[in-house]
Amino acid sequence: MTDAGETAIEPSADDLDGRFVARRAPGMATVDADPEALLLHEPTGYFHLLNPSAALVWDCVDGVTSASAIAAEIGAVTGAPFERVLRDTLALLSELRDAGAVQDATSSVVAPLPPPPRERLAFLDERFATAPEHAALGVTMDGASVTVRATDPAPVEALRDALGARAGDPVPGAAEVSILCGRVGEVGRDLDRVYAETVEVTRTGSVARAAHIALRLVDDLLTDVLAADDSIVTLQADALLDVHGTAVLVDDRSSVRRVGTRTLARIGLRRLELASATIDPATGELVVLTPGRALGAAPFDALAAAFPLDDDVAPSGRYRVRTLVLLGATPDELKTTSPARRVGSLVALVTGGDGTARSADLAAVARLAQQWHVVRELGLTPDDVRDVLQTVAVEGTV
Amino acid sequence: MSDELGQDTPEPRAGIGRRTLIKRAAAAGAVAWTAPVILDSLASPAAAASCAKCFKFGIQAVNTGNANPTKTDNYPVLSYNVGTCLPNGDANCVAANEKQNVNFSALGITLTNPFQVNLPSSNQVTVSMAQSGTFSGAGCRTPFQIIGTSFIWRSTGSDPRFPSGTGDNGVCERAKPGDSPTTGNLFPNNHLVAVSSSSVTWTMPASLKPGHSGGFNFVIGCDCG
Repeated sequence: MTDAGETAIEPSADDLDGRFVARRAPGMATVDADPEALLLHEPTGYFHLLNPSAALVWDCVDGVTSASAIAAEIGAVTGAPFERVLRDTLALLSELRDAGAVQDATSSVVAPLPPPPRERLAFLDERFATAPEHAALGVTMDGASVTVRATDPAPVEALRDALGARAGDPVPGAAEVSILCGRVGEVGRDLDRVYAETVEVTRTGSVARAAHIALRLVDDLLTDVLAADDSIVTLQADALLDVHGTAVLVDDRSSVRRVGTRTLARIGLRRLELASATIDPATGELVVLTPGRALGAAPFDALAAAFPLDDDVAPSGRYRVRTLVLLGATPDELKTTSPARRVGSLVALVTGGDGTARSADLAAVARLAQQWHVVRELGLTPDDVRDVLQTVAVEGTV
Repeated sequence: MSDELGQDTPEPRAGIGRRTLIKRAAAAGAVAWTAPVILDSLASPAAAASCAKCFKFGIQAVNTGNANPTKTDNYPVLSYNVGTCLPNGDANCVAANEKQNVNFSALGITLTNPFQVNLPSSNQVTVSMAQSGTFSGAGCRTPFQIIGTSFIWRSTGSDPRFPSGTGDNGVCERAKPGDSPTTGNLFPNNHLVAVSSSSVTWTMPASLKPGHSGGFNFVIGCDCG
């Protein structure tokens, strides 16, 4: 720290001057994308991409050192004029402050922002409000509760029989598994849809299969492995399994996710029915957990006896991941060479239905994405889907 | 790409640790001082683009009785008893930028498949926006970015998917890039297949109303950075 750094106070375009001491706002986490950086606000999933100089300044934000001192230090190693570095640094800190990423270290400590309220799907609730036959049950274990609800009573009754004494009344505020049963119209019957909280897990024409998937989701949610286990990375992605036993991860928003079972089968892929893709960050493998970790095997056996399992329910095990299909929301994402932008394109994979995102998951998937073949998809036209599927199929033969 | 992270990142220690960090970066040639900037601040990757201008338009089947329209129609499309069904971003794109009765080819619009809402869900309609090229009708440059879109369609009072009632029933389904078929604003049924900044695909809802009876609204960003 130099004298110049302590005393030279440059006016800025904002109200900040060289005496400003910044600290990182609560909830902000950093994922390095050398030489750039991505700042992630974990409670909301909001993120900022920093260029190399900004990443350097961010590294220096420690809640103690003034902007002048930071500028002096950076100026000393880069050779850039102190006045210029200070002016640039203040401008950046002003931007970061406006964005909520840094705070004035001399102000009173602000509590971390609470996570936003859990997103509710209006159309889910509306469907239940207009389904007079809807039914629900609750399962509570070790203080954790899950509600299963269905617009028709059949799957809930099947689960009640299978769960026996474990089935009880729904607990308000519990995690929810929702089954929207297909409705009959003049043009046929809609498929049943199964949701884990806000995520649509599957569409099926079989009530039995919907019940099986729902039971598996209840078990996952009660185990809470998706939220609490740091040894597993949870991605908001669909998983396909190829004939070689390797997995293709598909962005939750990708058009490939909507491709029909028969089309997938033609290229040697089948969909695994998972609430979320869980990845071992050490090996990069897709981990399909054994059902019954929370509930035990009895409900699964009982349900299977009443409704024999098809072979399309995901077998437990570990699968090597070879391809990640990402939805590139903008043309820039497809052609960018910016490390931070590439990491940023993965944020949607780790952002949960409640809007929270874990930087540990983001860092892990950013590292793993370097090992996987990544197919980036732009928009959705029939040609796009065909191209993506052909790419996936070709990769499977390599 | 380094993947080291700081979950609840501790702030670096002042002094030696930070100076060492900077000097290492300098030694590696990583520090050539340029203005430090935030490249982007995003709620989701879908929000990555920023656009200087905009335009908006409707595509309507029923007005012309044409399942394969080639021109834009009124914006917003007919209400069908559910209001104007304005898409995301409408408020920031003034009425002067509405493009009505303009050939799709002059706006960089591609519409695939017949657009009839009484078709079953196996029929999907995709509207794509040009990402390159010159389109004189737009009044701004590519790439075009979909800011928001909405699908408005109607059926009859006997449609079992609707709450009880009489007369025509209308549905407004909105979507924007980043949404998925599980996103809200899709009542009573969800016909969104996928939406990105460059295209949106809807399945047809098998309306019981004879004819086409539906329309799309779009707010499009252009001169996007």
